[in-house]
Amino acid sequence: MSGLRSYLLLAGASLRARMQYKFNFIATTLGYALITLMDFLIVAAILYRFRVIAGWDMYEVALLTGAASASYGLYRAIGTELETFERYLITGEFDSVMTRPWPTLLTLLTRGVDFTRLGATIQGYAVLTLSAGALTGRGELAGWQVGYLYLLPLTGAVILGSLALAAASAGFWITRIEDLLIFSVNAPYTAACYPLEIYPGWLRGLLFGALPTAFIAYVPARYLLGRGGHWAHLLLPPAAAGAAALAAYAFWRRGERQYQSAGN
Amino acid sequence: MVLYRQLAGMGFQRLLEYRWAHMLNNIASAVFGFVYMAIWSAAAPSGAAPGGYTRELMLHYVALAQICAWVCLFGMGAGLGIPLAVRSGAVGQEMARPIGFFPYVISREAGTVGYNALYRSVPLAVIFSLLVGPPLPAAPAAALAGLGAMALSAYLGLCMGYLVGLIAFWTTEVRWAHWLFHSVNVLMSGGWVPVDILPGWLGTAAPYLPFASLLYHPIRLWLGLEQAGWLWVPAAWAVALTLVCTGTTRLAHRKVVIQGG
Repeated sequence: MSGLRSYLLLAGASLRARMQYKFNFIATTLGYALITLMDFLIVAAILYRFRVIAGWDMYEVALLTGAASASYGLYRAIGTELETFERYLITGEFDSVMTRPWPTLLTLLTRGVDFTRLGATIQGYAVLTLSAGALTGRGELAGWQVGYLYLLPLTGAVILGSLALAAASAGFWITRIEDLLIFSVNAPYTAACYPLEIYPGWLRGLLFGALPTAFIAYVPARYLLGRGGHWAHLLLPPAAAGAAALAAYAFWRRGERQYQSAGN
Repeated sequence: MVLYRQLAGMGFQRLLEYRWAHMLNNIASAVFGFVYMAIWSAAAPSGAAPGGYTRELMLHYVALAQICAWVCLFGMGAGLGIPLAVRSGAVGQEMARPIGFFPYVISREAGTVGYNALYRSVPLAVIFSLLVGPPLPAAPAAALAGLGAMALSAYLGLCMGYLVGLIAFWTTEVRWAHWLFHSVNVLMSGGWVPVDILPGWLGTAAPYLPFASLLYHPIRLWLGLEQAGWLWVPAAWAVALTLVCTGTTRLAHRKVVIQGG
């Protein structure tokens, strides 16, 4: 509990620090909202011309992109230090993280909370709301299902955060992880914005297994939209998020023991 | 000229250190390309298609976009490193050099572009050639026009990045401008969607905007989807952006504040 209180305290301090430059804060938040909105507009442009992708229309695909964008924004807000973890390893700054009386991961995450990234979350929820509204109007979604969809970004953020944590942990051995993060977080996130039927088997296997972004939105959305699956699939996103988080944290703990400070 | 070449060479050398890490990034780029290929394979019809964008053509279009994006969009730091120099005060020294600040930054970053062409674009071209076949030009003339447009696109990418960087003279922080620029390019450069298929007036106007000269025109020229006469669009924007960059640099000279003390 004291860990959580400390986290909230430091997160508040981080917000106040960023708000010192209000114009930059607001403009950067809008910038992040815009970049994820563009991800959706690309697919909207394709669907405007070709109507469906693998049988999914614009509103159905928007459920996936909306939930994925909201998840990504949440993860980037809380896990922003994981994205720059390479710097801690190169400069030896991780030494100071290890000397704090809290778990290293908590200390690391409290070093920076990037609230501007929530622009992507707001945009994601806006797309999700528009799409859920249209699908409810067509009678394809019930009220409780919309409520369920609104919760998906929470587990989605944990899945993406776990992938980033695993990549950061690999840094204890290989140091340079910037490119690994793009491969293990950004690419699977982008893939999760679309129906997975369009990908070949090996890529689907990756997205259901080692890089489990299929569980951000695709698996439950497929069931909710009557495209197959079982009601129990609605339980898979939290299960996948929990399993990914545990596995990534175990990897982190192992990597920590491997850590050698910078210098010679 | 020797000085500019040396500056470019230094930019190139600086990145050579990380070439193996960048190879991993190339795989990520290939995966991004693969995702968009899968989308187009699922969406575009195989035979006749609106705008001529058949499934087969779009696979090469997406591959070329991923290959060319590394010389005009990706791999350059936000604002070409100018914001960092403004924040540290190093910009004072850089502006006091006996060469213009604009050609200085562009030459330095041209080395980055050269590095990206060699260590990012070429490996990606090999990967995509293995996946979907080599994206060959429609004809020798199309190849020449396409290469000319790609050279202009690299220069335009540098000019746009430079203008983003110059904003640091007024606001210090430019992340918002970098993301705004990147967002607009995602939709309007034609790298992800050919801009002429955008709905309504946007699809009509977009090919004439500077962003379309980054990827849309070079790719279409290379694939023979448009005539070499279209080269006037990137060429005109290269002239216009050069004037804007030099003019804005003059304003920035008056605005420069050396940090620290």
